[in-house]
Amino acid sequence: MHSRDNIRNFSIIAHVDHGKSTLADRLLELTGALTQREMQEQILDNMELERERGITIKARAVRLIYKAKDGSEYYLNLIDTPGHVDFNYEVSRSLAACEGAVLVVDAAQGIEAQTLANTYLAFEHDLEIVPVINKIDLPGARPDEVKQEIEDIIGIDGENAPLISAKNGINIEEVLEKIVELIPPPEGDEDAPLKALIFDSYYDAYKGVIVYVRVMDGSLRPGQRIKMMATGSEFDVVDVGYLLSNGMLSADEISAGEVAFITASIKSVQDVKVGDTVTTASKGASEALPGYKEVKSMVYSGIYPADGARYDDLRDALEKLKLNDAALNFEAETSIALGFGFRCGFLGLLHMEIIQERLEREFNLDLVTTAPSVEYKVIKTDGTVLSVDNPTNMPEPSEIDYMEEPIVRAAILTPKEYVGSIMELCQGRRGSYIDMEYLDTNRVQLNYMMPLNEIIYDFFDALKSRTRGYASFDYEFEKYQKSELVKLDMLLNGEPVDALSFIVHKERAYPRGRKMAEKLKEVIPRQLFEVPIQAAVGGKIIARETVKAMRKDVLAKCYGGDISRKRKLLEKQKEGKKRMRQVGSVEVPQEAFMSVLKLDE
Amino acid sequence: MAGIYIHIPFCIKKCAYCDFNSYPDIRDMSYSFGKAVISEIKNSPYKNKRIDTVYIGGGTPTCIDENILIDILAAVRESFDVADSAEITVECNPGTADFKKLLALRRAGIDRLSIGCQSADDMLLKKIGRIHTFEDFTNCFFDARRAGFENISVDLMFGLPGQTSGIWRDTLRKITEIGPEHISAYSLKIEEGTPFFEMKSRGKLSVPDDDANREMYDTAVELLNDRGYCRYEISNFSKAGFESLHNLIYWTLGEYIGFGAGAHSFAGGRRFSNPLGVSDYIEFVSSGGRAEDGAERESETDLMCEFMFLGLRLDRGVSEREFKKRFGKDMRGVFKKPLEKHLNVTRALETDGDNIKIRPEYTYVSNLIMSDFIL
Repeated sequence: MHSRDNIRNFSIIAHVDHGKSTLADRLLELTGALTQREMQEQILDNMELERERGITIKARAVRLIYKAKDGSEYYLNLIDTPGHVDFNYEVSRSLAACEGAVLVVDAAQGIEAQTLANTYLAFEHDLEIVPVINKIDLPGARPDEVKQEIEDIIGIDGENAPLISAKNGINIEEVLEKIVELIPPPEGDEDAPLKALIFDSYYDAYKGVIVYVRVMDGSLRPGQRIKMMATGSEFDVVDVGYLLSNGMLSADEISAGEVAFITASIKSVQDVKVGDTVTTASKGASEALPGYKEVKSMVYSGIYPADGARYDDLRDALEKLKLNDAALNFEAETSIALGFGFRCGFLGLLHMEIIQERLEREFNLDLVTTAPSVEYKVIKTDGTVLSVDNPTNMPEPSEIDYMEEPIVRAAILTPKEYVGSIMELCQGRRGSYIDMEYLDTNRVQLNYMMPLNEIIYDFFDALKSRTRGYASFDYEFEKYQKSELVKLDMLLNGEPVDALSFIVHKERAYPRGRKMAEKLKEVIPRQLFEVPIQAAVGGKIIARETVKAMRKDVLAKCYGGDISRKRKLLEKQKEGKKRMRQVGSVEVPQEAFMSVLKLDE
Repeated sequence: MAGIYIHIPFCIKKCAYCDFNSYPDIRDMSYSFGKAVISEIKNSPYKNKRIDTVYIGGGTPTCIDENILIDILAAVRESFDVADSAEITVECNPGTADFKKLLALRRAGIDRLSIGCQSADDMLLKKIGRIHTFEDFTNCFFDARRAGFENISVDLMFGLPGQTSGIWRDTLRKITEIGPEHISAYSLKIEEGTPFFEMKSRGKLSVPDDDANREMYDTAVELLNDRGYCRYEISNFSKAGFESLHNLIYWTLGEYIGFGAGAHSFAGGRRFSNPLGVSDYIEFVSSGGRAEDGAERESETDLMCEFMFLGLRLDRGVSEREFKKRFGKDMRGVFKKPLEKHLNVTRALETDGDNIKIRPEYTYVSNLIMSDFIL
């Protein structure tokens, strides 16, 4: 129990790479929460992949103790937020647990799409924003302009923003002082029924799920029975306490205003939904905290083991990942081309990539993944509505009345010279223009409504290459919209390959089918016989390419019985075939199934 | 069946495509080399083994004093149980063997001659660095006949720079008219470390593309077949009963013992080879070195794979019964996946009684099939 006046609950928000994690480390270091040796690892971003990508995937929380210049000791609860649009909901729940946010802006790059998106989210939660300008010691730093940007674009006072270098430990203490000074202490009624907001959870093999909460009202002790208000599940509390950088500190009681953990022998993260409200089973709160949403997958893809014998390993790996990732969904599926695998649902493209990479790295699996799909709604002629995230499950055209596809609201921040090029790109992707705002003299924000299925095909790459990496991009789901969609099938040697089918807008079917056929021609090597590649919509061939038969692949005589040379050559050839899938009579390289993503349109 | 291979690493001049273990300009070393070979033969751990074929290859064996070859052959007969009916071959290049030399070799018991002709087009012969003309070849061929060689093989090459299908067809016609018992037709392969490789990497050499190369191969198969030469191996054609027994040993996992510089052996389940260089080899032999020392026995899996990818080179293919006899296992079980794939799905293989073989139209892309038989 601490005096609420001496608690500050805050997040750090930033665009990718603007130094959020490094600043978090410095804050930990300066408050003695971390030793120098521990500093070698960035504590908050503790997954290898997160470190490499410089992003935080899962939120984490830590309590820092800081003795401020006013002589008092403060408990600063830092709630780290994921830095990517895929995890917007998690960010919003983390922010809802705070009273303030430290906004980190790169002194050279200024405000970017995610800076804005996250700042708007912080505004929505009425957070006090503490701007900080980072990387001040870099040659390209332009702090005065960035201060002006903060004022012009975000509309908060940037004049007193600490100018810091998280990397080199410059002016970090000023950040701590600002946190104490500007961010208000938490409010809440200790005597009211318990309301604790779940902003994260973590699966521990011994303790079960560790629930990270911000207590809004009331208090909680071990032994009490709690209830998750959205799921209705109940548990007996085993332990409560605080989150320190080096572990957990048990407490007799946690109460309103505090950031804390709860353990209650919970076996599955599925019972602990981010955004849900924890209350007591008896005399609990009558109303949950606002803002809870069921997390929904936006992007789907088939994941198959390259070696069919490793199907069970893949399932085990997915189950392990799911322990800590409630947003990951999967179910078994079978593909004629790829055998047994899983249909997986993800929050977005980044989430998908992260899961795929973790499966390959942490579980040493070789994967074949199919082109990502979104979830379509199929309204059948008999009036039933079907959700289709796998092209294979699309009904016959005769059974379809109409279809709907997910539309997102996309915001693109770019230097103004690229506006024309971006507009062209968005229009080519069936985007509809909403408006354009000048953020300052040089930069604009373009707003578009775009079909999500146009974004999941190499949109990021196309955007980057058109703007030399200067544009940044953010989107959120808007609505489902009626659309003329068709299923495009690819046929190899006359046989449709299920794993290569995809759903596409009618107008885009022809160019995409043609591109796809060309791409497959590139990646499928010559074989024993000629392989026709066809793209078809509803049984009608719309494009055709041919992989000619191999004409010569033979070893001449072996001089004086030198067999080993021959053997080595064949072994090398065999090694190359390992990346191949036998699809009917055709050998298809595994990359082919992902090649739909890179059509350079 | 078992064979002996003797490598003579000398020649007059390296051809532009040649990456074999062969050295011009050091023929004065041939006498001491011959002695080393004889010593190696006499000290062979496989002494007294029954031998069905002897093959003296190179290099150009006929570019050195024929008495060296005759002495080596005598040593072989002395140390091994060479069958009376044994096939004894020597390789020869036109311009290095006159009638007298050929007669001496024939009299020493060599009954098969393999002559490197390569082309009937003198321009091409010059371009690829051969030291002879086509007329030199015909002279050599008829000298060999007069010397009593009744089993002659001729080596030809296609896919040569500047070679057209017309030139190739003309060569095939001329050779079949001369009428050797056996013809080997090899596609030019540009190997690293050869003048051709250098020229090609500098863009100064253009050879017929794969399509043209294939066409030449198909032409050879068809034309030779019409004239009584059956293909029995990817690159080898013969009149009935004149298949090269020595080469068949290679393709059927028979044992062979190699003597001479860089010679390869397969004996006692092990594969091993001698040092490549002439001096290295002489030194190795005189210091009592034995190539098989340290060589590891091949695993059964490796042997089974070799049985398949070597045997499938032959038109007759591989015998399931033979496999069972040799390994005590069923070929269809061991190679279930590739056999099912190629017998039923790609249909590049077919069965012929007890044998499984590559369909003729896939012979020239056989690597695609054989590589599936590496386990």
